[in-house]
Amino acid sequence: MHLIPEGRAPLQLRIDNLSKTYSNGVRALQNVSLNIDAGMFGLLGPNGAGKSTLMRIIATLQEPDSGEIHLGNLDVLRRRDELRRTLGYLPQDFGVHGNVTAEKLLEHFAVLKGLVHRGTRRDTVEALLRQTNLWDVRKQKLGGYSGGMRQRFGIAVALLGNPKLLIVDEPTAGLDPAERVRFLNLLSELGENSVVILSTHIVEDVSELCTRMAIIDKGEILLEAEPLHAVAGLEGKIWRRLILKDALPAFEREFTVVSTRLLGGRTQVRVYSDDAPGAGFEPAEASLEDVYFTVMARLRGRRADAAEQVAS
Amino acid sequence: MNFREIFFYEIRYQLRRLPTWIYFGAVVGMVLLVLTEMLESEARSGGNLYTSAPFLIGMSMVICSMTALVITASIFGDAAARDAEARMDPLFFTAPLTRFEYLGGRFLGAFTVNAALLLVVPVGLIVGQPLFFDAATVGPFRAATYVQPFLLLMLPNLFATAAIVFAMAAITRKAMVAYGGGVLIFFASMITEEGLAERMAWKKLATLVDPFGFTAVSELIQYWTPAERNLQLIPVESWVLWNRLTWMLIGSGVLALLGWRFRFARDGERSRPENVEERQSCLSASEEGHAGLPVLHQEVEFGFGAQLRQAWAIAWHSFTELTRRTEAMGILAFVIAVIFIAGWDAWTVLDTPTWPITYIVTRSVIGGSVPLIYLLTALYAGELVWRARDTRTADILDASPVPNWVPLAGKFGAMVLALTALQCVMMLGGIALQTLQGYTNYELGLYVKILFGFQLSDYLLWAALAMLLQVVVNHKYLAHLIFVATFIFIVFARYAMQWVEHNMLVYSAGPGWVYSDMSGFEPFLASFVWFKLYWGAWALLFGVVANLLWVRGRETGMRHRIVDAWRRLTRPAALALAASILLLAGIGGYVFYNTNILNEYRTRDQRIATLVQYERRYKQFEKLPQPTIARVDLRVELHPEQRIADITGTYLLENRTAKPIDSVHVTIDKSVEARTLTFDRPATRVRQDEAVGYHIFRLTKPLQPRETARMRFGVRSAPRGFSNDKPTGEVVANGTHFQRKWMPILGYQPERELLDKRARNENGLPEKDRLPALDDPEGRRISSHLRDAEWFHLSTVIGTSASQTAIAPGSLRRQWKENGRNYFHYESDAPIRNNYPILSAAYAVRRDSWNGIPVEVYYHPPHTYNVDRIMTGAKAALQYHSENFAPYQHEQLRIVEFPRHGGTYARANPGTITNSEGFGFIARPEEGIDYPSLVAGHEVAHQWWGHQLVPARVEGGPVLGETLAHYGTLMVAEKTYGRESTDRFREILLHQYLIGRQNRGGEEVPLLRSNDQKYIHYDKGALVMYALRDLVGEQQVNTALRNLLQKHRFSKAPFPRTRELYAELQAVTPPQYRYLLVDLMEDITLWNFRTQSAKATAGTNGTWRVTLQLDAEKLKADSLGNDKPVPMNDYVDVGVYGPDEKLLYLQKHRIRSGAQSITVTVPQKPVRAGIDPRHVLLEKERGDNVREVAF
Repeated sequence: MHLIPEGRAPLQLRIDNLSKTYSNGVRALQNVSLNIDAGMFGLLGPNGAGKSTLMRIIATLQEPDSGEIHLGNLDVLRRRDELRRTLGYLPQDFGVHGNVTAEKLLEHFAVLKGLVHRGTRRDTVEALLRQTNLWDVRKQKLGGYSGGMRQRFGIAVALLGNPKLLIVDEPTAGLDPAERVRFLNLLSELGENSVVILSTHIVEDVSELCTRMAIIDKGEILLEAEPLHAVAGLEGKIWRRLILKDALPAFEREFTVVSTRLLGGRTQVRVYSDDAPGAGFEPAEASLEDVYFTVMARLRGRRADAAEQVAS
Repeated sequence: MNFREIFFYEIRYQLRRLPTWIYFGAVVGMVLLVLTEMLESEARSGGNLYTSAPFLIGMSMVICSMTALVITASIFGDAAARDAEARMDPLFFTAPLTRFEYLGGRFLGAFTVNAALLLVVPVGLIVGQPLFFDAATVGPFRAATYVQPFLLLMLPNLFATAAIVFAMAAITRKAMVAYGGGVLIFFASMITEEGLAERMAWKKLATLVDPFGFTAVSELIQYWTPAERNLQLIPVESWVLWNRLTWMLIGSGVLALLGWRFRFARDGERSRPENVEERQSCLSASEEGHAGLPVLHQEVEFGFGAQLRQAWAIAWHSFTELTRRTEAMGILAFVIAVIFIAGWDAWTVLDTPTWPITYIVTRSVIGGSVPLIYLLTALYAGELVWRARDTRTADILDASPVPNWVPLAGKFGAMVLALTALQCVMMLGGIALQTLQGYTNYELGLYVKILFGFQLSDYLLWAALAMLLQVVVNHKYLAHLIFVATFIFIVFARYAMQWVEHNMLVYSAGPGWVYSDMSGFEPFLASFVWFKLYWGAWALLFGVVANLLWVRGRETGMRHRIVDAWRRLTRPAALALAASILLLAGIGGYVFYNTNILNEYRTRDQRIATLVQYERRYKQFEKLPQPTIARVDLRVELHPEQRIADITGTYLLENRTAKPIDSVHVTIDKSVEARTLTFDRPATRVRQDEAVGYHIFRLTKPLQPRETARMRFGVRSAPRGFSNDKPTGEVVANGTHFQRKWMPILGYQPERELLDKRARNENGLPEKDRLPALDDPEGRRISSHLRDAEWFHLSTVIGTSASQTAIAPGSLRRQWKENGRNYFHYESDAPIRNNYPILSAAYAVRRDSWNGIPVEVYYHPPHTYNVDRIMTGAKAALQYHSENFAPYQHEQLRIVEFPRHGGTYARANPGTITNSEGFGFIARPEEGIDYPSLVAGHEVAHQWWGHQLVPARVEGGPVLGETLAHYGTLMVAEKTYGRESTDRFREILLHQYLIGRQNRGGEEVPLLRSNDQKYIHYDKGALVMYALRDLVGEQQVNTALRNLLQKHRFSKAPFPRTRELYAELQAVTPPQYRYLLVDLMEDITLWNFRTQSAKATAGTNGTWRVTLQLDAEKLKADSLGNDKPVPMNDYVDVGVYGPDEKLLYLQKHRIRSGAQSITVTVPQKPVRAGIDPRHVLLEKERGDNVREVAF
């Protein structure tokens, strides 16, 4: 019986009511539910939002306290061995054996991924090294690789063994702009018939790559949407204005401030408002960043309200 | 200022660390262990030492120093590499600090903390002794006893070792390296102890090389008597001084080197290849050139076959990574160094090495490096289990589609590969060593069996345990700690304290094995294999458990892991678990069946209890008149291949007492099965004590004086499976060898009583005198024979397998074949003592004759090395002794080799000398002394001194055997090889005597009263006789011995004692020389000579006048070694040597105590001159007797 649909039939990852609390009391995930179709899915959230916990749970490395995950018909939490056969995983923070060449180590991982026949393994390794542009440096030891090369090597590892589910955890953190672009280009090529989950705290990663996204903070999903839709929803509701730094507290009380940015000694504020907020504001083009900050700002507001209620 | 800040910060930091306080506890524990185990046993075993004897305190401190190396490694490793490991170093390196401030502050801060921890040792010893022992045991308190060794030994040890580990950790920026450095230092010291210090010639080097000063101190105080040990501080001179200076210099040098080499920069930054950036620019250019995912379909497989290949891939990958580690080459180099240092003179007897026979080389390889390999095994098991997590590749690997057992098996496979590779290197090292020593019979098969069979299986068991601990404990260092603790506990509980005696309870244990060229691994193989299989089943179970508890993913809580393990217990896993438990139960059951049901399992306490019962129940019969054995007829059927001996025999019993004997007491050794025991007259068994093996028969008609009776017996020795004890191996496929012990013994034998002092005490038995006093009025009536037989006749028929020759004492009367077996009939040709061996093996024979008497050497065919020397020594001894003392009593002489698992010794039996394969047959006399011929000579001498002259069973008895045999040996050697040939042998004898005087467990007695002190009746005795001969003359001494022998030949009561020997010697000694007899035999006397200067002036006719300024002293010592000077006026050699050590002058001069001057004339230009140049008299400091002559 094939639990995972063969060929090009649509594949879906369903996450239902996933919760996880660490022994130190941190609630990493609270009733997280997501439906993720084939294609690139972005998971956006600040540091410590629970992204990596969610990713690791999906990647069979951690266990939730409650909840279910299914890939197609495959019960991920109970049949981990079967999931692993079709899983590609690039962890957020991973190391390499510094004194081995890229080719050797990739071959080694390939064997572990089930590519036990030397011929096809060789071909696969070559194809992946070429695809990740590491072919020319395949004989170099990994200890000498730059951060971006190392991330690309990680992707090559994750692509071994025909993964139907590919999890890429914060791959662009720490990359310089050029490396980041190269890396995103590589990601953008990943297929349409696998589920690819990309977690990041960088909004551009999502806006440039993902067809669907979710925003997560403090273990809760705050928004699940298509990036374009979400941006379209804010169209005409984002306003900006340059102000003096001292005036910021007052603005924050008066408006829903989405983001602030220092610009030539003064502060540019972006506010969310259905109508024109008044003099000095000019309409701004909405971006995914605005979506992100709006959602986060709303959450802050909600928490503040809740705190006030408790206080009164 | 910066320096002070770093220094005090380091102290505060270390004091806040938990480990520091754990170490404090560890040092306290160490002191307790020293107090309760070491000091107590050292002081009590001597019975004459204070626990506060300065050398004991000093040695305790050295041992604490060595143990505390772990603490030093931890503290200094942390101090040196903490910043780098926490990635904090850039903060320090960019601060306005000099290297000196940074490193110096760190080092001295850590040093202060560590020194303070070590201060617990002297303080603990001072406080602890009065708590544990009574004041008389402790002795008077002197502060210097503790202060001096602390300053002289502990602090310099700390400085040198700390400098080394600190530098190693600082340079590599890894704290772990400090532990590695500690291990290296520890083993370096062990090797100097065991490897270098074994040969006299290398001792000086060893004293310098040992980083803890242990060898230097032991060397310096080696001749100290108990009295000196109680009083004197460790002298700060010669070897000790040089050793301390050497290591202070090494320590300072290492620190200086560190200061010079250390850089305030991160190595990682510099090591990245520069061309990487360059290549990246190419990458950008080609970026556009491709698109799309690989269309290629990746063919994957997840079956069992694939999993096996994955396990192999992990094993190989991990193994190659291990070999690429920086320390891998270091370890290999170290292992080879061990082989060469420990293996070069692997086995020395009498300062003479043996040929590097393969099993000896492997033994030294094993012996020298085993603890190191256990430690490395544990260390690398940890590295392997933690490798993925340490390199942060664990997430990727854990999410890979492989079951848990694949990485587990793969990592264990890597251990197998690594240990196999190590053994290969050892094998090559061993072969290189053999080749360099000109030995080419490599015996590759034997190498493989020992290194890859016996040794590797043991290593792998420990590797399995180490991996299990790593998995279960899931904390690298804690698991290491538990491993080491387990190991130490096992060594301590099993081997030191014998708390646990059954090998089924001690991990990886077994009854043990010895290889012999003659008998191979028999009879040890079966028990070895079964016990290893048993522990292998445990290891398999460990594997199954480790598989269930294998940490995968990020959930590492124990609760979660147990839940997970339960979930992993799927059908195949449960089957594997059940199968391994079944296997364990099956093999364990079989082993238990062998050790406890087929064979009797007896603990040490039970064995002692048997001896106690023997004494308690039957001591009352000690003086009961018993018949004497007058003739023995034996028929021995050997089945070497089945290891069976069937013995039937008849004793002719004669009542040689004056009274009728109505009961016969028979003891049959517990190691054989008693089948029949009958008399040729009516007798009833009135007592049958199987537990002790004691039987009493009442004769219906008592045996009248001079009347005889016959006793028939049948005993059988046949192995039943294997037992928990190491097999004694009397009957083996090739090399059967057993003594009279298996035959019945008559009457109560005090020789069989429990000897161990402490055990006697614990069981309420009275203290036992080793021998009755010299002038015991009863003493001369009893001989040192076993008392149930005096001179008797022996007739032996032995059947053995077709390929073997069987041997028993006596002349071969007949030899025939029957039923495809070889039969031999031997008949004694002179009255013999009640001691006779039975041997059988496929021997080669060298036949020669002396005066028409056949002389034969029976040897293992490949052991041809020294057969000629043995033959020469034996014949020369026959010649000398028959010429000087009395005729040889037998019609033949045989020297027969036996396998070394029976021991390393030679024994004189009537006309038949049994000689262990390890005691002469494989010696390399050209590298030392010709002991094969000396040993043969000694045993031949016993045909007179022991087999013609039999002493009374009183103090001094062994002197009439061993001293006289050794004297004969020296004389024979001088006659054969010249006067100088014995110098080296005598030097060894003198060294052994002086070492023996430290007297662990006894008091020194004069030669006349020696009882069980080998260092007196062998070593001192030989030198005493030699000195007498030197002064009185060979003819005179030999006349005395001949007279003694004539009066007591084939001795009967009253038996001779040392008194009689003394009287004979006195009779031949001119009165002016008799003082020497008193000094050497009645008293304990030592001399001290010194040549202050030697000046020569030219005389007439080319002669030279040499004037010597001499110092002389004569000391008499008491039983504890307290000596006091006595006036001296003795005859001592004065000698002058010319070029090429040519002796120009050697005469006895009267020498007084104190300074004096002597002038002699020599015919040639002298080179060296001095007093007692040949060390004829007993003297400790012999290096100053002779000087270069000045002009």
